[in-house]
Amino acid sequence: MNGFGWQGWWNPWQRLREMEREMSRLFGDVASPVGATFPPVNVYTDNEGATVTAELPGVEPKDLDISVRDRTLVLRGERKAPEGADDERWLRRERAFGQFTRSVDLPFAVDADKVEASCRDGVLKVQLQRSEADKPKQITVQS
Amino acid sequence: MSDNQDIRIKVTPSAPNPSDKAVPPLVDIHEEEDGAVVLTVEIPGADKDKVDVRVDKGVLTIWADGEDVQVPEEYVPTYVGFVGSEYFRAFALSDEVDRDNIQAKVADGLLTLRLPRASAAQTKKIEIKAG
Repeated sequence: MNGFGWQGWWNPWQRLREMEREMSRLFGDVASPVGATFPPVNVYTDNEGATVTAELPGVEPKDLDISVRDRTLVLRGERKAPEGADDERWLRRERAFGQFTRSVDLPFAVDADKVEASCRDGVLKVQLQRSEADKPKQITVQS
Repeated sequence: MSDNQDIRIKVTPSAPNPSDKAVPPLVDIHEEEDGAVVLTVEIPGADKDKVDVRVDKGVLTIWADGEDVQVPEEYVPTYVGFVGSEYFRAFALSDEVDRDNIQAKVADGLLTLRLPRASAAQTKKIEIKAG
């Protein structure tokens, strides 16, 4: 730090990284036996909203629970083992199974009523609109 | 969206040529009651048209392109946790696999390959002719 305390709050990257580290510590090891945080997510933003994509191969939409509160998007779900795979019949296991939770902290509050989610080829795409109350207001300077 | 998509298996003399960026996808392999071997391959982002499965000289090759992750152009990436990948992996098949009847389908970013076991009548007695 260089003595300017404002560096932390304007930088959404730093805030997101902190949040992700915290969530990984809390849930990462439990939710994902391979150790990596699941699911991996990408966050794209502009002034009007955000789009979050997540890699969820093999997760059916019905096994997925998406919730939004203020600035936080939470993805919950379950990865299921292939059908018909009894324990003693495994020849190779690289994929992980079980329940997962991933929280994604966004740089602004979002409107929980205007969230759209779609899933295609194992990639989830969640589109969020920035809440009106959170948007910056233009102040007109009067002469 | 989760329609099962059937893939035609190409048995060709040439294996696909993956680029240097290709990564090996995660694979689960299990055996079914009838002896068939099932491969479950994670290829998120790739649809049926971007998957190529071949058997050539006893080698099964799997290629898939999941690079297009539908990034909205007007947005700025704020956090990047994954990038779409090209996938490539090859497996040597044993002689027990019936190579002409391999089935493949793609659903929800998973490629499922079913490798049936060749019929049990493998042992063939050779008649010895007199003289």
